[in-house]
Amino acid sequence: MNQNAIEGYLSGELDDRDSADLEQALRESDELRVTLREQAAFDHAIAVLTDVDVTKHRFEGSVMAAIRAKGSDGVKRSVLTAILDQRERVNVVRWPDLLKAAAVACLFAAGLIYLANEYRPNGGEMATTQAEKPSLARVQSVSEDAVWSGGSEWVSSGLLNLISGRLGFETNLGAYVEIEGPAKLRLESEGRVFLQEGSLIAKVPPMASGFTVNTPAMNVVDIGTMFAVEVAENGDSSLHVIEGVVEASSASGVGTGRILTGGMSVRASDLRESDLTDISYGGDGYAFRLDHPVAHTPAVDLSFDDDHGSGVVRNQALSPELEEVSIVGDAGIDRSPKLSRGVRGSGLSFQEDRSLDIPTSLSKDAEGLTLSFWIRLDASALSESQWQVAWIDTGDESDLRLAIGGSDQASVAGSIMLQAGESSLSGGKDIADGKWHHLVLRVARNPATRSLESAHVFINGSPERLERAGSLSLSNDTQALLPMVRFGADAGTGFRGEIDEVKIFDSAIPSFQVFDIFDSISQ
Amino acid sequence: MDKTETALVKRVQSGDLHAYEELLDIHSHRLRAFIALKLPISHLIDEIAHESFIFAHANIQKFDPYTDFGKWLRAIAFNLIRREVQRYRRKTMNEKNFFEHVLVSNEAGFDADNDELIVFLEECIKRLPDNQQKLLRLKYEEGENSIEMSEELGQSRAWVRTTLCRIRSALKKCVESKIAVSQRLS
Repeated sequence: MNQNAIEGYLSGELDDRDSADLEQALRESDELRVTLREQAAFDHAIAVLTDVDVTKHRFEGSVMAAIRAKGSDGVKRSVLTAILDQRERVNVVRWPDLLKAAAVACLFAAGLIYLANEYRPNGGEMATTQAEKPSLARVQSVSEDAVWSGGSEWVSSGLLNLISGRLGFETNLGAYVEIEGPAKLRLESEGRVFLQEGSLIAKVPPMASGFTVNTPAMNVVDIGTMFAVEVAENGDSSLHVIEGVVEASSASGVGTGRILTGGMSVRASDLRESDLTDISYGGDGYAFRLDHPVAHTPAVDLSFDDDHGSGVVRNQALSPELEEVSIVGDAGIDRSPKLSRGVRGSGLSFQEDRSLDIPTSLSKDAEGLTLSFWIRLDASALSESQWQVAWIDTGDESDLRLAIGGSDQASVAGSIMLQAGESSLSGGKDIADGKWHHLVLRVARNPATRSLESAHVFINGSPERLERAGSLSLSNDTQALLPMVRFGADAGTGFRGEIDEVKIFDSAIPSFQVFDIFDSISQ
Repeated sequence: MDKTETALVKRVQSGDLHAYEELLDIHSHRLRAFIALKLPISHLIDEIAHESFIFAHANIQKFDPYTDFGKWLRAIAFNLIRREVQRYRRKTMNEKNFFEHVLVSNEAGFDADNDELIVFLEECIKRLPDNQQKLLRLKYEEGENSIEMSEELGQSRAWVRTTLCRIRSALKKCVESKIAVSQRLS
């Protein structure tokens, strides 16, 4: 393999065939891999040293913006935690995003409002305050003697002060955490918590791998496991790996991480110490004592596989009145979807003027709704206008709509938009790419007021961050939730593509189940 | 550490952000080049440099202003690089990130803490013949591809690519020889 090919590969000038040839050669030759690595190192270093000033200044601007944006929240936090916080919370000040330099000041001034991934209706008025604090986890269960600073089922970022008892919650990524009081835990993101004091035990399924527990003295990154962490009042922290593997490091930020497996325990006691101290295993003293989240049964389950040419598809769920659903609606066969190849077996094919109504017959007392389906969108047909994918009749003016943004509406054409009345939230992932994607809309209702409380969108098993694209308001008059779900639209504003494997639940299903549904097909 | 940097660090320790901007201006190029040599993955170079400067600022009170700020920065960056390398090595090598795995798994033999590494590289670049410096300028400053460079230089495309590789190999040897001399003298 010659230098001509290596340079072509580094500069991205090789075609697919030549790239594949080189990669095959790289697999077979240690010497070639070393050569490529050396060439890449000097290629990048020369590029930096001969950099024009504008790039250098952008970099420096990004650093200063991050430093100026940094604030104190009164909680003792590790330096590494602060760095991680910069990386996760404030995407706008990370280097790559600072290329949009002009937008930085405005974005940061607006703060987390841009990261809101839900809305929370509030008394029929503008729900701006709640929208700035997206819910990151759901309290699954609490012990009878639990006293804690909350009371809401869905919790946002911030300090969770458990004075006594036990409390279990599931993050939107699917990690399940049980804490024992007295404990102070700061929920920082769907994938990270800061345990200031107290103890926790966490079970992290594969889709939430990378879930991180920071303490004043230690950083614990899950790689697929179950572990317990205890933090003393002075910040001394102990980690016990019960199953699987975790990476742990001192919060000093200068030590390298250690890989720990089941049956191992370590302690970190001083921020100035970069090493973790091995201690005798203490994981046997920790156990889950509350109910774990369990999978829910769908009220509607349509796979579209047993039509037999009749235009009627059998509902796999147990609702007697919903045994069959006709794919030919009242508007006639020309306005109805057609059977087509699905993600598994048959699916339904839609044009912009075709729709399918699915009566749900859900109870008015339903605690929420989850709509799960697979969709493949015709990327070539997407234009400036948005496509309505699903319309959920909530029984009042605040109908929920899932749409695909056109180039005029969404921040990213082809991304998800969640709309209610005139309100709108917009995602950042283009799914109008001709491939199958798993979409889930999960809506929870406050059991006391029955108003909609929170909403999340998942794409391919992962929570999608939604940004506000307009004012957010939603009436709390939503007393009758979900008489009907409509896919597509009959006024030419629907979508072009296919759907399959539709499931509707009369509840907000747990996050792990969202991933399981996705995983059952994607495998 | 020279008096200017000592004074800048003291000003930062007293809360002067403008002083930190000056430190950034002094060190950002060389720190990024240092990271590039250790972890030549485009999207990580500036990210790690960014984190290093954030970390340094957050810990500036712990830093002795009479010692070498650049060396401290490189030590921070090196630890962050090691963390990234560990993460990459845990991932399964597949088609999508094959290239990055090759880059992470075949580290160069440079002494990570060699303070003069980037200075030596700058000196070696300056010592290149004019025609080779021109080629580097066309590629790295003008951003030309191999077709554009071949047309401008009146050479074949293969010549351009091969020569670029040879220049980088020559720079590596040049840096290594300077490191060897430096180590003998120290």
